[in-house]
Amino acid sequence: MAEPVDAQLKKGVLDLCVLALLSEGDNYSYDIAGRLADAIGMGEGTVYPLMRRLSADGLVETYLVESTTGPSRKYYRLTRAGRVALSEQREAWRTFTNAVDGIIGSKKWAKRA
Amino acid sequence: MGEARVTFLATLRAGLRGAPEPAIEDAVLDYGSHFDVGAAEGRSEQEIAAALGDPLALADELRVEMQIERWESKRSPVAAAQLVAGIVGLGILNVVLAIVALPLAGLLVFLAIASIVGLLVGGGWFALAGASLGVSSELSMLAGAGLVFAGVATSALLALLLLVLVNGLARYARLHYRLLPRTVQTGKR
Repeated sequence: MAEPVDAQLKKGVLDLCVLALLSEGDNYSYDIAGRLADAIGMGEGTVYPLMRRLSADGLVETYLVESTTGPSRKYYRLTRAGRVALSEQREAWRTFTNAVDGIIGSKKWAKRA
Repeated sequence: MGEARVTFLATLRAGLRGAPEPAIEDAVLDYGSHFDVGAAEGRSEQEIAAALGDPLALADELRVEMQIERWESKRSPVAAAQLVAGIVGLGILNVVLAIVALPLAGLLVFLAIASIVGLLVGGGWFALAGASLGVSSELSMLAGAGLVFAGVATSALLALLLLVLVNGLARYARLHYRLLPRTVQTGKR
């Protein structure tokens, strides 16, 4: 059962996306799920196994924040290891996409034509 | 609580049956609060459940994650067996890998264990009773001890091989992490 190409591309960068979102500020999973679902088009539920894995790997940690309007919310923040992982993965992603752009990008071909 | 939420959480819980109780509670709390926040933002429960995806598929994903954590913290044969079973259950293994490689690996492990037991028992027996076969007792002691050590060495090698194999499977499972789609009908397959 082959997955569509876009699904394969997306899941490769899920970790990176979550780490990048959290680098902008601590967040709770509902919001992370919503943002990823909007941007990538995945089921929101996928974020929970993902957060579990990131926290098992020590890249994120959780704390509870009391809410005035409802039950307390579990917030996630990047750990030091998470920040390191983010900069490594971001670097790897940029190198990779630049290389791919260099191959598939139309600019070069447009100039030659 | 509405029906969509109750159904989603009950299906998730059923899908996680057998996982450690605190981890199940954790997951149910996580998804429960997802419904709370969503409701506070004015979404209907049906809408939230559909956006979350299939609870049974999510349960499979969570379970394998828990099994990988367990395997990494406690490298026991039981944890390894559960992890392998969980990964097979995810259905992400290549068909060739699932129907050829896994049974083959199982057979190899079985043969290796049988030969280890054979070496240990046979070696022990030869060391003690070799003299009765007409071999000098020093020689039979030496040969018996040699067989026993060969058994020990083989089992160490086998343990190492299994460790590498299970680690490789766990890495494979995480690479093949699935993007679960939204569902229209939740809790039904």
